[in-house]
Amino acid sequence: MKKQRLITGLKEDRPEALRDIYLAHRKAFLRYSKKYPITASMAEDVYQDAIIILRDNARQGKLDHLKSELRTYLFSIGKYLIYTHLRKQKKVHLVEDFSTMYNEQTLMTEIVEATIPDGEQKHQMHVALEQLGGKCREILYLFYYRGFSLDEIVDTLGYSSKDVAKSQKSRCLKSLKALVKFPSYG
Amino acid sequence: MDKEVLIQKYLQGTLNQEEEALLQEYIEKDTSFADDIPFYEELNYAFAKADYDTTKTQLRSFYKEERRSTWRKWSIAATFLILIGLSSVWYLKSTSSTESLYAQYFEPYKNIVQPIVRGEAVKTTKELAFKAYDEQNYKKAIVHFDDLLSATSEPIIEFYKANAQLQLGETETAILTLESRIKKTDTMYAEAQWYLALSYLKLNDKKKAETYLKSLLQTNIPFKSNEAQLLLDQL
Repeated sequence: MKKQRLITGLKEDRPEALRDIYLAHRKAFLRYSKKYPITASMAEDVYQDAIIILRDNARQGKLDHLKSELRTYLFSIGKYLIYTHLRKQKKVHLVEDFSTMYNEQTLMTEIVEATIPDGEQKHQMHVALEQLGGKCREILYLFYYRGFSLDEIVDTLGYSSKDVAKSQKSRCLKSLKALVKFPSYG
Repeated sequence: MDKEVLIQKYLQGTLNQEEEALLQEYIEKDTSFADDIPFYEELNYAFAKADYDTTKTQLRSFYKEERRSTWRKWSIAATFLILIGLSSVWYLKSTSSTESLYAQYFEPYKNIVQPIVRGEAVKTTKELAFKAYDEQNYKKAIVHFDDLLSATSEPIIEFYKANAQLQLGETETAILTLESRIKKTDTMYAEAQWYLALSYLKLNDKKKAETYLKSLLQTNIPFKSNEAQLLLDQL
């Protein structure tokens, strides 16, 4: 099934899956967003963010049993983002309760949980990660950010064993702490 | 439970109640563990931010790529349409104008060599040839012209033969005849220039037509000189 294939593609970080979903619904979303008082570039931005949230949710397995169409799900995220944006700009008084906008309550919570990193870069950590080197960055990324188990990391990065992966991870973590000069390790 | 896995689950937001309690316990008992929590949160944030930025760039590139390829597709199509349009307009215009000029100016050179007297019996090949020419039976005329030419090459006969060929629409052969058989010193040279110009006009070769018209005007022979000048201005 096409939907399932795309979701799997997103989970596996396949660029073509991201690309297909992005291009497939873009025009429709931009048309739809004209109902709201936002600029075209804002609508594009919102759409991109919605795609990223969709991808993140797919990664976390939240779309594994998705009953609705991908477009419906994507548009709900987009609607939510537009609302948040307008509320920030105080253009919308929340006359309409959010939960009434959606049929699926679960969808709501998924969306609300989704976060978009807002602006300000934690500079020190960013620089430290760049200095750390690709291999270390990868293993830390998969373990902490993506929540991969050590077994999955062995599979993905091709370590010879779980133990090797584990000791590599703690070595990398130590190096990183030294690089950011984290207080307790300074 | 492994502290690392507990941290991982904390960052992922997938702790269950039991694990949540365990985390709290560690935080209270182990100060260095507690101090590490902000570090992990920062790490998580840095990854999230990097991931987000990378994906944003990626999405933007998808869009640009798409827009480029649609634009390219359309521009190729548009270019083709414009080219087809332009060339057909140009072609129609130029051919129609040269064709009409040819039709406007062309008339077969009159038989001034062998006046045919009606009722008189025709004897010689020359007489037969020009009789056919006068009767607009150009195919027959050419046969007789060729017959004459096989005996002796006569520029004037070549000239009439070319005229007959032009009448039959054999423009290229007529050109060949006129260009190769009629020299500057021949009596029909000026006339040949005129018919060459018209022939090239019919072939839509304006440059060659102009060349021959100029060459005709240079002879200072008062044959079609007014027409030649007029035609030159029209080209």
